[in-house]
Amino acid sequence: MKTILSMAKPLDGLLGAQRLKEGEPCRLMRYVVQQPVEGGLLLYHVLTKAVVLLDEDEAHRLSADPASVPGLVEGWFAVPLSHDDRELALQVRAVGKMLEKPVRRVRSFTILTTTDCNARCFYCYEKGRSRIPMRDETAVEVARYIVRNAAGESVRIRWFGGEPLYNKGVITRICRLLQDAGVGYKSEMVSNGYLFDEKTVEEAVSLWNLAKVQITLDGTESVYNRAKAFIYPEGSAFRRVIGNMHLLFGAGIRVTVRLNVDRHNAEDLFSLADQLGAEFGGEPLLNVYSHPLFESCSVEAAVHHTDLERKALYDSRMRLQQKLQEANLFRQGKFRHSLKLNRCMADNDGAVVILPDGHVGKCEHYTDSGWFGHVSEEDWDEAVRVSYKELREELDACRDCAFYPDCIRPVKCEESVHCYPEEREEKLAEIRTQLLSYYRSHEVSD
Amino acid sequence: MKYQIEIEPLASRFVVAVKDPSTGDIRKCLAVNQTAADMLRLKREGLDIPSISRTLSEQYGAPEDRIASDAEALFKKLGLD
Repeated sequence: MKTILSMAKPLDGLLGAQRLKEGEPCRLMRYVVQQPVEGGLLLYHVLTKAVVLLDEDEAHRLSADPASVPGLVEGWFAVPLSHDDRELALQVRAVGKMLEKPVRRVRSFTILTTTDCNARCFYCYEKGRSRIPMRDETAVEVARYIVRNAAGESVRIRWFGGEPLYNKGVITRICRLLQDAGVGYKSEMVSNGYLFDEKTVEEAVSLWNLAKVQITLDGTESVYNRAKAFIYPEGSAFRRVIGNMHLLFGAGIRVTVRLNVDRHNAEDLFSLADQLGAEFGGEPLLNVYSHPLFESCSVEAAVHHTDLERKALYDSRMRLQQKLQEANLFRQGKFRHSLKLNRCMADNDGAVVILPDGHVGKCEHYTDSGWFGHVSEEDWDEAVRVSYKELREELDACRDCAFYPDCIRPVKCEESVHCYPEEREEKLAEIRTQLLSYYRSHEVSD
Repeated sequence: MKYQIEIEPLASRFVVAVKDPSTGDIRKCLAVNQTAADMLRLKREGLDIPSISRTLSEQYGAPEDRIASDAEALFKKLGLD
């Protein structure tokens, strides 16, 4: 057995080697993912983040008696038959939380410049909510709030909406005030991309310090134009957005294209992938990934999918993802070698969401309620802030899930209401791809 | 209070963190056995070394002086003396 990666911190010095009586019957821990490679088998421990490589002989012995492979018991890959894997996972999370570096300052700000938008997407999760633009005086208060929190350190800003460029004046206003106050910042944006133009891109580089934009494309030209239903009667929004992507690349700004996949556009997205390959093939600043449209955006819509429909959709997405990888449009995320203690900004003390009226919240999905403070006030409602960390009861599927140690399902998060088998399959495929990618680069660097 | 002691179980051991109570910064962190974890819990409750060794001697049937010297060494290692 060869160790490719040791346990992640802080477990490396704390968990210690497992000691068992000789001959005690063992099994693999539930959180071990196996990935065959040439000449052996990789084992990835989702709980400890350790990775080992077994040779063919060891791999052969694994299923009959994992304890017979030297090192697997000591490294907690093999555990006694009666071992409580879940209990250990909960202990590891509690230890990780106890040793987590305390967060003293908010350093990450998601700012909704407006909840209004120039598109009318049929699937928008903000549909029916109030459409409020941020006013100039609120933007001034937002900048002051950031300066107070930054305390001289640099911050990260994520411009969000609605469509953030639909009220871009407040972006400029906030950035100027931060510059005047000597606060360093980098920003990114979630935008439909329509309202960029040469002047805006120039300002995005020189003043907004915009490093990345996420743009959603729902299909090829006609499918996209129909799905987005922009308020402008003339011209092709699709062509405009593609043109704007060229402007962004030209300015050195990264673009992540999200392909929202549902039954209405699943097949069309294969054509779009071809088009993107032809239009932007080899562009190092581009990353394209797919996302199921309804599974996370709207629970109500998700439960209306039958099991068969959901399976067909996931199969389609997996094929699309494969195509994106082959076309070199998809950039694999980094292999994770740290304990996962937070799900997102909502349960991260270092991040807040600022709404157009100046209310401070934890999640962009809560725009009309669920805030815990205001940029003009020093006090906040701790009970509301902490409520974003409250976890849901476990599902039956959690008992045997290999990803349990990394799975955080807050009560307030719509995305974590259900957990479908296809999601777990997808996660497994993702981990395997990242693992292989890490292993191959490790081989090269060896 | 000059320090804050936090203890969490981990497999057959216990992880102890000694933190700065005002900032939450970790000063020391250690994996210890059951007896050491009990010593630290009693220390956290405000007991002195003689009281800790008396209590644990009754609990484990070990000599008081040995527990006292172990506790002294442990507290020194964690900067609790």
